[in-house]
Amino acid sequence: METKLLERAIQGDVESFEQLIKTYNRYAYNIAYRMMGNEEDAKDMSQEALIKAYKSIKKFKMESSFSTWLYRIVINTCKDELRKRKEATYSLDETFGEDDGLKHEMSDEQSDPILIYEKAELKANIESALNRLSDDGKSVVVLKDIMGYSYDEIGEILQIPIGTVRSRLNRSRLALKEILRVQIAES
Amino acid sequence: MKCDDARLLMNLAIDDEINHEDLSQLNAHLDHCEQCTVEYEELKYLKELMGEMEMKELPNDFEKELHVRLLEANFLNRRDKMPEQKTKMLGKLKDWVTGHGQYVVAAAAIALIVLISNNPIRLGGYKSAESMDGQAPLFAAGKMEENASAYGMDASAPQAAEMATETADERGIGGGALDDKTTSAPQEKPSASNRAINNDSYRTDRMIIKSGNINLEIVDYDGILDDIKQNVITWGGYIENESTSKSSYNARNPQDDLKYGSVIVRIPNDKFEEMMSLLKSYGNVIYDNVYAQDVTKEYRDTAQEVENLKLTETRFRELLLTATDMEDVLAIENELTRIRSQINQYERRLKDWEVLVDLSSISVELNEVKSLEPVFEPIDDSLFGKAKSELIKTINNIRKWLENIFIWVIANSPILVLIGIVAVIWRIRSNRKNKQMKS
Repeated sequence: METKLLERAIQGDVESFEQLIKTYNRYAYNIAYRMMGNEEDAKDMSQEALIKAYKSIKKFKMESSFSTWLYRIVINTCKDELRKRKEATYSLDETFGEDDGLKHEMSDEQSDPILIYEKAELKANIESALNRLSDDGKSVVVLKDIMGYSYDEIGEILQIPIGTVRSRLNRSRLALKEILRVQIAES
Repeated sequence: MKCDDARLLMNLAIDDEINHEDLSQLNAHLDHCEQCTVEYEELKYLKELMGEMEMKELPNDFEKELHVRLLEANFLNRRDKMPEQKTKMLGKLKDWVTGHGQYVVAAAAIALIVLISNNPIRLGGYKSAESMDGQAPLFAAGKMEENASAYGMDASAPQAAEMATETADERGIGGGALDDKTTSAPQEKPSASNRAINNDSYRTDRMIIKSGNINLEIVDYDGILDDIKQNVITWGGYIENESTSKSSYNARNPQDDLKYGSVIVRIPNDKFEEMMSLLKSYGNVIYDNVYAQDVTKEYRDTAQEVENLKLTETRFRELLLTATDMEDVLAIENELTRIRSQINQYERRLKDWEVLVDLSSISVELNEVKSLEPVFEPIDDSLFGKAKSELIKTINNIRKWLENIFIWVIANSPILVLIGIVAVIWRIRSNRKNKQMKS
């Protein structure tokens, strides 16, 4: 079924392509939402990514699964856009990377584990904490914890070696934890 | 083991990607390192929290919007692949155009006006047909003609009315477009998009096409047929088809010429049941059935499709306003024409459904009989009578059997003759042999 639709989509049939992506639309949108941090951008970026996919569907090789390929485009589209925005706003003060600020805060507040907070409170903060993560960090965390992909699959989607997946995930989770801690302590 | 290494393993552990060996090492470390134990718990907690984050629903217009953007992408894609030759020709045209700069604006303006005065009309036509539908069902037009002929008019009557409103609209919009021309081009844009958005005119209730079949035995054919026609017309329907024949099956009394025939009536939906029970009251019902087809889903899908196409159309029209290249303008116009014809096609289908839903059809078959009372054949019960009929039957059977044999013999005579000849030859030969043996 999927290959048939794929063939027709490659020939330029819009409806077949829509059928093909129907099941992935929502995931694509959710990935974009976590990457971009708001609904409007999520819609724009996921649609842009899906259109990109449509345009370049000829380049899709059967060796990976369609969803993997599609989500890669979504993530890359989001990252490109985020990079563009950063270049536009932070071009003058690049030294203010989020990591520096984070380390500074970390050394300050080496105290309460997040375990002591109410779950509701954490839940309310986790979204904004996720938004403050670096783009690469966000993508691994989203793919692992929200989409539930394995390390292998994440490696395939992001096209990075599995060792990098591990270390990125490790770093991102630690960072996320610290951001959360600081955020709650501040509020 | 160092705490840093342990942290890496923790991640593997919570993601179920750890092997046995590493797990036992990690556990050993956790047993004596309190800080790492806390951290491990924190990580597990974090993962749990992340897992509980809710998936966002797709925005309502997501797929619709995507569809439009995809069509656009598809269009631009195709345009880029336009054959070289064509672009060369267009290039020449462009050269000419740049040479005669002042005409470009005029040409573009004319193209715009042609498009705008041609395309939105159907939107208008659709709307006005709908509003007519609101006050009186579509076949109101049919009713006007009922004096001229009681039946024999078909569904084209409402369509004719629709065409009339369409042409009326055309005139109105043509005038409007001219006005726009005198002011400025950008003003046309909002008017075009408003028209496209203004289309909540689809039906939202269930769309059920009802039809019925009924087969009747009646006494007074002409009287009842007239009565049916009368009722259909007063209820706002019409006769789609009628035919009457005389039947000669009544051989015993040829002076009574019985009639049979069929009528197809179209009747407003709400009068359907009434009509059916009226028909049943005319005589003996031999057969009747009612069939309802729900086309709600098809109708809504098609309406949705039309909506999508209209959105695309608006987008293209906006594109057209921004297009500066002659080549682009032509390509966009082509695409607009294609979309328009598709919209028209779908709208026609919607209209057909609406008419079918508004007017149920009932196909009535009428058989005239002498009396509606059941007829009893006299029964000859006597023994002799039975014997006589049995004897006749037997004789008839014998006759039939003999007939069959005769037919069979005649039919197979060529083969029989052949077999006969072969038998005779064989006989003669065996006789000769016998004689030779004896001698």
